[in-house]
Amino acid sequence: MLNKTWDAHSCSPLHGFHENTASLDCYGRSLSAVLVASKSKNIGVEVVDSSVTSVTFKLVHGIYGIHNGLKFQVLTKSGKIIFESFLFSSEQSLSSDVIMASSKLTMLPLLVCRGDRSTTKVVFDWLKTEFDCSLRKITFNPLSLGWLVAMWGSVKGQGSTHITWEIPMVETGIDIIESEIDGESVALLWKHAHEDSTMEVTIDEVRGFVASIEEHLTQHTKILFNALTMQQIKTPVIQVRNDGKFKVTSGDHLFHVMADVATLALEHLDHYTPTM
Amino acid sequence: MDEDRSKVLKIQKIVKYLQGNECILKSQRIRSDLSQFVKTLRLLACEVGLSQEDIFTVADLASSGKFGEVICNSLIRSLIPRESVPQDAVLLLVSRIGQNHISIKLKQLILRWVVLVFDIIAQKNSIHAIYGIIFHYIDSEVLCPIVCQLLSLLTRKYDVLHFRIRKLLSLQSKIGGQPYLCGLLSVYRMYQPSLISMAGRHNVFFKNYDKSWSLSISGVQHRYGLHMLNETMSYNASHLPQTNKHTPLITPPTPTMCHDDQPLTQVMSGKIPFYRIKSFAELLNNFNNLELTCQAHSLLSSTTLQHLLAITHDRTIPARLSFWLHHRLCEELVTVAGETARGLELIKCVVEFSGFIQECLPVCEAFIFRYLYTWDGQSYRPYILKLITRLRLLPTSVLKDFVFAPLRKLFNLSSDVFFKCSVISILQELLSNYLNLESDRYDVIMSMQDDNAAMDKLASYMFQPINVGKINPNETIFQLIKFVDFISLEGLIETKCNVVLMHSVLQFYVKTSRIYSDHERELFTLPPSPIVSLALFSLSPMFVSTMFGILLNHTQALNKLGKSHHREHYHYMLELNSYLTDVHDTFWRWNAFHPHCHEDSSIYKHIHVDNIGHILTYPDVITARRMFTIERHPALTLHATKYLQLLNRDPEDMFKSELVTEPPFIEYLETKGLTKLTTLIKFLRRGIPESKTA
Repeated sequence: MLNKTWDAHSCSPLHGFHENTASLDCYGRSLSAVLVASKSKNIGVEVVDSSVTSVTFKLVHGIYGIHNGLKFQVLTKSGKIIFESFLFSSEQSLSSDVIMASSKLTMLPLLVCRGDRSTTKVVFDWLKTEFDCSLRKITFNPLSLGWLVAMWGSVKGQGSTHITWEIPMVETGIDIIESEIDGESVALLWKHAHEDSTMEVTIDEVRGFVASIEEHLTQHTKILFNALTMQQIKTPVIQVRNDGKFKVTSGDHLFHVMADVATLALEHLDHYTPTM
Repeated sequence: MDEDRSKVLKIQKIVKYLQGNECILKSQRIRSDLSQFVKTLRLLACEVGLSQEDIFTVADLASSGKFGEVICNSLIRSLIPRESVPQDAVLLLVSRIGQNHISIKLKQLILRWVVLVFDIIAQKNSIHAIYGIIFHYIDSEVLCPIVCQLLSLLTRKYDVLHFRIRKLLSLQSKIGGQPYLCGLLSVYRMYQPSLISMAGRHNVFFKNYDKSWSLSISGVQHRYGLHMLNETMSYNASHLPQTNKHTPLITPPTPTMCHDDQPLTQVMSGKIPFYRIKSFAELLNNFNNLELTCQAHSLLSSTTLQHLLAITHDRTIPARLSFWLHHRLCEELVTVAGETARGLELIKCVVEFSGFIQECLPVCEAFIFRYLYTWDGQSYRPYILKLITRLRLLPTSVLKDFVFAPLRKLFNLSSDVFFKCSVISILQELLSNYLNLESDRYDVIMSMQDDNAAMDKLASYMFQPINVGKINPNETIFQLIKFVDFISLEGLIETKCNVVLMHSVLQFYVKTSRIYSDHERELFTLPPSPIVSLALFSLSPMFVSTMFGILLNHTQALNKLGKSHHREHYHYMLELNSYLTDVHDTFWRWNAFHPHCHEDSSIYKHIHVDNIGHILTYPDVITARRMFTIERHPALTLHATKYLQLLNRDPEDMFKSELVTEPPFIEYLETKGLTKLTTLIKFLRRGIPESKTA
């Protein structure tokens, strides 16, 4: 999974998903049948010389014993992978626990995938009809990106963090600004912004953290950074763009990072009213 | 519908005429008449379409060679089916192609028509039977492209035979790798991949010749015929589905593909799949045997299935439905500016469903809050407003931030009076919803929530049980009324007391005045004094009458309340008292704009009474004090004059005598619909208004 660019989607709970191997085999067969059928539907199209043979579904065991992840791949005859995807769960869950825990709804909020567009479309359609879920591309807002920087920018001894800002107007002649912050400074800033005692991170703390970075840069460069939008962050562990693409570069903290991204996906999915 | 029926009859008449006049067609005069008829036929066909018999007759006439080229052309173009095309008509036309009496251009037109209506042909078995004959036409240069397109639609496995493939390949070597030939070859290849090596690569195999024709066909079909879920009528083999914009919004119910048990046992269990249920009667009959769909949102597609949504015990279904709704609402409405057809379809469905279950889903609520932030007041206006009326009882802070603030912005910034009126009327509807449905529901839910054992029952009471916080219903309703006070004042000032707006506002206050009498809820609010004075001094008798009605309703409510509770609502009593005193002074006792108005006056509080008193006084005619008595009120002078004219009295009498003392005048006012006015007169006559000073 490392060093490849993935597309992140948020996935609503899957209904009727069973984890035993028999069902997984069944899903694999069904999906491969669907893919073959859809390929043959598009007659007259430039015929691809290798056709789809197999789809494999595998369970990936995460650090949380109960919730597993799911991985599935689409392979061609020659063994080339033309589509692969992972489904991750997160440790939190949505407010209505009763329904989730009771029955057939499996909560795997984050779906990451890579592959060509036509296969992706067929796979998503199959998922939607089979499990009654909705998949939506995640756009990471600056606050989420700031939170990821705070969490993972300060991993010791692994390099610095880069943040890229996007300039909204085209006429100024520059379109992005990149900044590099040392890991130690990030840790320091975060210590000031966040009380170490609690595990919870509040929005205000993250806002304060991001504001402090922006203010520092503004002071030195006289460019108002709080008017710019964050486009991409590159921490030593993970690189994320605001349109949903990300890349994990270090294998050590893989599961923790993915759990964080999954929490972001959960927020993207959450649709209950703010106060109730 | 009557219009359509007359058009259909007209079409039948024209067809009969065309059938009859076979022989007389050569003369010039008849020819011009004929072309007129044919033009009309074509126009009508574009609007309502032809029935099956008509299609057969017209096809017969067009290909019989009896008419001229132009007319036959028009006739073929007017073959727009309403329901479906009988295969005999197609059979007839194809057989006529083989004969010599129609021109080659007409033959091509006929084949183009067959391709266009291919999907609507009722049964195709005879057409498949004549595959070989159609294949034969491939030799003609003019017809070749369209024949290839038709064959690519018709081909089945049995039709791919060696000699046909050889023929096609030889044709290809003769005229080169034409796109239509390659298209047909690729269809053949699909069935027999071993026999054909290369199909050729082209982006588009078959050109779409007749876009406007197919548009008119699909228009008529959409109105009358079978709905087809595919978007395009013409077959375009090579295009991948571009984006999800072409797929239908709410997919028809489909069963799962993977089953837990062996597939055979599923089939043999005798369950009836969802998509077979077409009517409510069938639903009731087969209730035990239903196999549930795996996609919750497909249950929204018809009202029959919505019944199932409402009563299902499966608790996952509301959750799945709300996830799907959240996803789709975000995609179609929140992120897209302006109106789109898909968004319209979605929001209509949501409004219909929430009307069906008589409540607002939590996900719809969240959507409304989000959407109102960026709403321009125009897109989907009736639907969004209707959804607002269905909101639950919410804490006042939520209501203020998420509903009132954006509505207020739009209300003030929109110059469209009808928008303002619609906002006021939906807020009135929201109020009545709160009073009728939601407060009861809230009470029931709170009582159920406290008792943990009843959690299951909660699920059967609300569509989607979520935890409801503690709120004070009266407080919410009170804040709603205050909000309407506020914006209606702003609106009236801005539009300079627009009549329509004033009417909506007054209707709202009629509703609030009846809260206690209709719903037994002790919530008393009076309209603010500017509105009261606007209504009482307005130039329209209806407004004066309505305002009196409002004040009378309030007094009745207070009377009903009983003396023991008066202390709790002291302010209300005082205010009502002052209004009534003012009314009494102004309309009855000739004390309007009296220099020493009663101390507790509400209406005259901020007015410089002396100045106005001077301005309004016309010496020798009228004084300000007497000006607003009932018969001399500017709104009512018209009625008074008419009354006097009816009795042939001098109109000047109006100023001299006391018309209100005359019963015929009161009856006259009643006949004009000003019933509240007459009630007020009786009320005032009985004596002073009951003084409620405690």
